[in-house]
Amino acid sequence: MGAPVATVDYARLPVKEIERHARSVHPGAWAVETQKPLSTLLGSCVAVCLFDPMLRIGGLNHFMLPDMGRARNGDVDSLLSGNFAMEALLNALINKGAKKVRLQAKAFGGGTIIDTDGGSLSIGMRNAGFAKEWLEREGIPLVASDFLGPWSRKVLFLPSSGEAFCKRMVTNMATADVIAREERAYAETLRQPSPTGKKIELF
Amino acid sequence: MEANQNSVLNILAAGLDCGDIVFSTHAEIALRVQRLLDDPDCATEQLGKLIAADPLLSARVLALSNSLAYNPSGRAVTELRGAIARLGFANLRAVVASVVVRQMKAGSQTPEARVMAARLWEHTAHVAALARVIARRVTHQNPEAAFFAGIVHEVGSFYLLSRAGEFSGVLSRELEAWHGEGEAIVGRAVLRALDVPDSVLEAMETLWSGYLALPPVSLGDTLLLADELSPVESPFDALDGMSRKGMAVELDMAIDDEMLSQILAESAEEVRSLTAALGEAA
Repeated sequence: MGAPVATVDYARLPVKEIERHARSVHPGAWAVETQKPLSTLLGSCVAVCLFDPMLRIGGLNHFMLPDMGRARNGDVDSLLSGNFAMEALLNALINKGAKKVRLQAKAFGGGTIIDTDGGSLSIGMRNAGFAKEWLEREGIPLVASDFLGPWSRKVLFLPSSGEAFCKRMVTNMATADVIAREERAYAETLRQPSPTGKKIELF
Repeated sequence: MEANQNSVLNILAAGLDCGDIVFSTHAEIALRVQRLLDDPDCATEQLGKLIAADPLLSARVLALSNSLAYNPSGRAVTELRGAIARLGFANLRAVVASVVVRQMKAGSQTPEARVMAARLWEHTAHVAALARVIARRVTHQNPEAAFFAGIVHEVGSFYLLSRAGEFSGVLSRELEAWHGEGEAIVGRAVLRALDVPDSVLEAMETLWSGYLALPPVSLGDTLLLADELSPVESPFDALDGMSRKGMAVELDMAIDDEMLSQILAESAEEVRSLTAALGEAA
């Protein structure tokens, strides 16, 4: 099956080939690589790519804040999960020798892919807003981003060069359902066991 | 599994591959000009003569050379040689391409296709103007190549519209296949028939792949970004329910909001004179 040898310069490949070789990062996960491209498929979730240009290493995560739009005071838990996703990625990079002061970020997602009466719109906005605030607080420059809008997005990231490619996608019902289902399954895992389990609506 | 969905699109593309593309006489002359422009020994004299043979093309060349984008001082040229000198060969290529594209627009036969073609032309003018400004100010690509790419970037869709009458229901039935591989299959075939430069074909591949590098770098990124920023969307996007519907979008890429609004304002101004120069009814 012609698996690529270790020395493939992914940055020189056409984007479709990069896509083919990429390691897919699922909702709630993160990955750090030096060579292999990373990819992820986003609905209302957000992906942040971090890159250390000196060490030429990078990573990407894929997360959302659960339980949005309702309990105004109960936001602490949901922020914790965003913080966890960002810190997990940051620490994984630092463990590989990256320096925080050198990191640059690119971030994507927060789309509204399923028609709801405004609920999912605010989900995307909150996720995007969180990513921006977190990066700003940590002093990591956000060099490029593509947030919000009615699209799902496919993101490709080359950890050796820091290049990122974002494709806004036709979100027909079938695609939207698949993406939403994956994100919902992930959101389920974030939910605290709650006595009134059914009242949280994510999409 | 998409084989039958793609069938009409494949028929169209296969026909194009066999050279089965119907161009009007205007477009025929435009294509001869295109080939002359590819000739390294091409002289302005010779070009002027060929262009003069077609009143429509002559009118377009003069109008564009006197448009705001090429004539900021407001001094009008009235003869073709002066107009060609002012525009340069690269722009002449774009005018010629626009004539071909406009001919296809005129070929739309059903009322639905005609409405869509008019909208598509509006979208095309916006993308071409935006691509030129983005090339100059953001990606530092050749602005004229970007403009040309913008002019031809919907040529496949125009072709589909011009043939839509022969395959009833194709627009609604095959929209998903069109957004998948269809647009690229047909577009590639039309562009090959038009002999567009390789650099533009490469940019079109980026556009069809949909992957925008952020920050944008290449000619393809320039085109794709122009397409994403265009205030007038392609009617094909609107049909599919993937229209922006006025929804907020945040696209940031090392150019600040002020520069972005400057870019949009600058291209909006150009687009008015461009649509006037290139866009009046054939």
